[in-house]
Amino acid sequence: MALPNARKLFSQISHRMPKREWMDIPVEIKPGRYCYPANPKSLETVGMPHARQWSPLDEDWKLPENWMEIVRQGMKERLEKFRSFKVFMDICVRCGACADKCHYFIGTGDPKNMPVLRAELFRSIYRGEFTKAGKILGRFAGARKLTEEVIKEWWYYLYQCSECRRCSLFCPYGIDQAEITIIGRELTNLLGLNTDWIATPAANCYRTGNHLGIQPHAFKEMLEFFCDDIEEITGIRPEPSFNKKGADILFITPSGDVFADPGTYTCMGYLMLFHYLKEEYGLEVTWSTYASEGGNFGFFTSHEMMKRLNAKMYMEAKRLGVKWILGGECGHMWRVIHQYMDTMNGPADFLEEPVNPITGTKFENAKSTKMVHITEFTADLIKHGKLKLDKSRNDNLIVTFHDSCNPARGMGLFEEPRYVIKSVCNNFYDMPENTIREQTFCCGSGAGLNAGEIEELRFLGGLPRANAVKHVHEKYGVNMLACICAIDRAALPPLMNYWVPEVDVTGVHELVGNALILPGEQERETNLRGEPLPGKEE
Amino acid sequence: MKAIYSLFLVFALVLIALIGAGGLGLHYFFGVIVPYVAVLFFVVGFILRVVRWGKSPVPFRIPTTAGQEFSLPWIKQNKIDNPSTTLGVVLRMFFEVVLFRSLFRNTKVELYDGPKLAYASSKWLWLFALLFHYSFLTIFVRHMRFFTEPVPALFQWIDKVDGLLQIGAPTLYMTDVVILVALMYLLLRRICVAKIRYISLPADYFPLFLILGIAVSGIMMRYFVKTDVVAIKELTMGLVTFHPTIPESVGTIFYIHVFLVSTLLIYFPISKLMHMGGVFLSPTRNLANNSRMKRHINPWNYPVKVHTYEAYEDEFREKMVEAGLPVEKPLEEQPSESKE
Amino acid sequence: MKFYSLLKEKKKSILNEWFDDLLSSYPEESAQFFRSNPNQFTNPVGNTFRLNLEKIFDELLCEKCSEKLPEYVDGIVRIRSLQSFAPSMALIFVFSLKKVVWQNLRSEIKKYNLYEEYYTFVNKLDELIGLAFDLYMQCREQIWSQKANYMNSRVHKLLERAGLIKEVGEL
Repeated sequence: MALPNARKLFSQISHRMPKREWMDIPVEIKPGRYCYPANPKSLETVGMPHARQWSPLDEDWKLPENWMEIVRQGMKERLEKFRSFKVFMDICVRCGACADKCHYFIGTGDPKNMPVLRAELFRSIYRGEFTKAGKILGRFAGARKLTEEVIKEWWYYLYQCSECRRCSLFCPYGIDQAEITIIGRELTNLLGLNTDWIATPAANCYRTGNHLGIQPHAFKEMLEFFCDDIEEITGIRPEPSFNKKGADILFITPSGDVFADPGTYTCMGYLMLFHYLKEEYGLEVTWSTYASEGGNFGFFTSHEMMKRLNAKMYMEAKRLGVKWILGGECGHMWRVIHQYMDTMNGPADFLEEPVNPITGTKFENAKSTKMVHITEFTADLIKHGKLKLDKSRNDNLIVTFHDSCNPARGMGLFEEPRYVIKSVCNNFYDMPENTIREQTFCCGSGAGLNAGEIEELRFLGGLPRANAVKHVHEKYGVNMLACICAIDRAALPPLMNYWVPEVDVTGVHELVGNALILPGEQERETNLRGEPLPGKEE
Repeated sequence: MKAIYSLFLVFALVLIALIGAGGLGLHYFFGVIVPYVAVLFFVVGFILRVVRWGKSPVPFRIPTTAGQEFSLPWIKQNKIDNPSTTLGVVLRMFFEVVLFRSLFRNTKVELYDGPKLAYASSKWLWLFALLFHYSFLTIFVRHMRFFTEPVPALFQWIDKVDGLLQIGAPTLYMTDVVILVALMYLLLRRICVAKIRYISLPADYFPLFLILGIAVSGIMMRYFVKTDVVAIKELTMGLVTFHPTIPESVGTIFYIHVFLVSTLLIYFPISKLMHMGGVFLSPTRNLANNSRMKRHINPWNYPVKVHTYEAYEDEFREKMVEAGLPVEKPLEEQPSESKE
Repeated sequence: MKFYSLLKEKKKSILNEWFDDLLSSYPEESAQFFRSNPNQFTNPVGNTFRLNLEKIFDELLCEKCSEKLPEYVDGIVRIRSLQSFAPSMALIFVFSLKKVVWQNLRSEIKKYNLYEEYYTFVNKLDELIGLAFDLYMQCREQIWSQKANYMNSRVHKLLERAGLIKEVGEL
């Protein structure tokens, strides 16, 4: 970072950038705003092209010789394959309704983070390469030339979009920046430009089944450690099944729940719930070490990579011969399951239409994909009075709920998690209306942006969310932020620590685990985190 | 700068018509050939564009869900903002197209602490966009009286309603005033709001100036420059019946008006104005959120390379057996080299 | 206390200029957004700036600043320290107040010979600068320690589970 001299700093001149059109402002790659490039080995593992060592700060990005041809061809192919892309390239009227809806723009104030402009980075090339008006009139028709600078700008801003779709909600034509980002990232991947925080987990997921590359025996051990902890707290030891053929239900959750706090406590919640259902109702739920990652880092890479990683879910369900699949708390995993899985890897005709055998409820909304969200499942159980709960164990918590972007705007899962939380907690307050449900603000770290090196960007992007949490913290004394996403559980604790340090983060099923009364359990002294329960303090 | 270029372009168009039809007297060219060519361009261009969009498939079902999903029977679904049926989608599209629902979303009246200022900027956009589009539509329908004989009751009725205020002679149309005000708002917004100016292209200013030119020339013709309405109707009826005639008493201002409209028609299919057609094809709006209920088919779905369970077990069999995990093939049968 | 009553009198125009000066470090497009959207939830940056500048100013008007002052300064510094500004630029607002006040009150200070009071006020500003620097460094250090912890927590649990490390207490 070059230090401006003091004279320049304190002089009367405005610090503002010179007035220029955005096409004339070259991209400036700032530290703290970009993720490190992918490890070439990770790209090679999954057969992605042009793996190499390169640095975003270098002048030369070592693009393949025929990079222009690759981009042109790649764009053409995708215009023919995706109506969304084609229509979104053509119909934007630049009304600006989306401009101030992006959390990165709200936080950083970088004008190129306005969704409309992030899309114009692509539209300008589309016009120049694929429309007659753009070819003839050039700049006047909003077209520009495809140069290496453009590619750098693409890469820089594509990985400052968390695919949260908030802009798409406010667009009068439903133009979805997430869709443009997804396709744009496919294009950068054709040139070997990716980030390590996406490429390496994707390669790990492919190879070992989860994003940290944990091998099968370690996966099992981890869950058994949780069982130890549960036994210590409740006196009851769950006996989870692994890769069990003929189980009723296959359960898949993001591996973040198994390996990173506070997701691990959510995972303990799952284990306790399944144990309860097995003891009380004889329901057999199995985990899989092969399909041990619900999160799909392929989704942040390309449609093809998404399909390759997602394929494991159905393959494993078929191999094990389960009736249907239950999915844990995860954001983008659920966007993939809800809007892509059946289309890509279905039909799931080897599974049964999901029915909750305990309540008899048919999950009508999942009858083709045959995968049910765990909050849908738990809400149904609670509604039918099938779970014995002691809400007072969560009385030390004043809870609010963060709607994760993908289940919110890619699914519409709003009431189920709230119903579950309200059933297991006495104190619940929602954040202000324009920051929740379909208008929810992103945690700032979605779509593969949870890397440590871009903490500044993440904290700025997460500011609108944190700010709303701060509001309910000050107004109602909220001290716990619940969410149904593994990325949230990884991203929100540092975010809260920076902006509202008094608020902690939890998954919904951690709250369930605390309230659930296991058959024959001892009197609990602590919650799942080992903290004394309300009334049991020294 | 971008705005000035576009303004000059529209001036140039006016000038062309002024010289061509007024000075050189090319009435047949400007009154018959240009309108025919423009309509042809418009119709063919519009259809081609929509067909081109239609040719690209919709591989995935990606609606933006703006309300509670269809879920358990006791949870109330938001059937319009998160439709799971075709009827719901039709309703959603209806509100989207007719009332600009997504733009309106901006405008929810909000309560906030701190200084009590009106939070209205985005509400204005919705209001003026709506005013603009509806007055444009009304004016378009009103003009149908020039192309029909006898004039159907509907057109007469709309004409009457629009002139309801009964001010002046000829009576003032409300839409004439409204469209000018709305256009000025949309224009000033682009010029004055920094972030909107930053994202605006010449292609955003040009249609605004063009439509402004059309409106102004039309208003001039009706209220200020005397024109022979009977002669104009003779000309327009000649066009629709394919017996074009050019009555003598039609003024130059009419040719300017028609030339600008023709330009708009030609410009329409190659520009952002196609949002009129595109909004119906937007996959985030026109699909039901039922992708877990009903399998959506991707026509180009192709098989991909996956990491199979067999390959996985081959790699980890020993460790799996050791950890007590069930395996498909017992350890001793394991081939000496794994497959992948 | 003539000087302070003048400050109070001119509060509105001083605050506006001070706020504008702070926003001038952003591109115009964003500055206008930060300035104009009054909703604290959809525009947290602009609203925090505006509200906290006023609170800081009110504190400076008092004889002695309350213990709330650090909280108000922190609100702004916490945001600025993330926005890729050089440190001096991130804290430009604590420097610019001196300029803004001088521009607004220059003629009165000369006319009524208020240099004495102005001097004590400027001294207060110097304390504010010190406070802002402390807070800025806290924020930056927090970011870096979180970056360090991030890697640590990601692998530590695994190493622990795998039995590869033992805490001192367990040995």
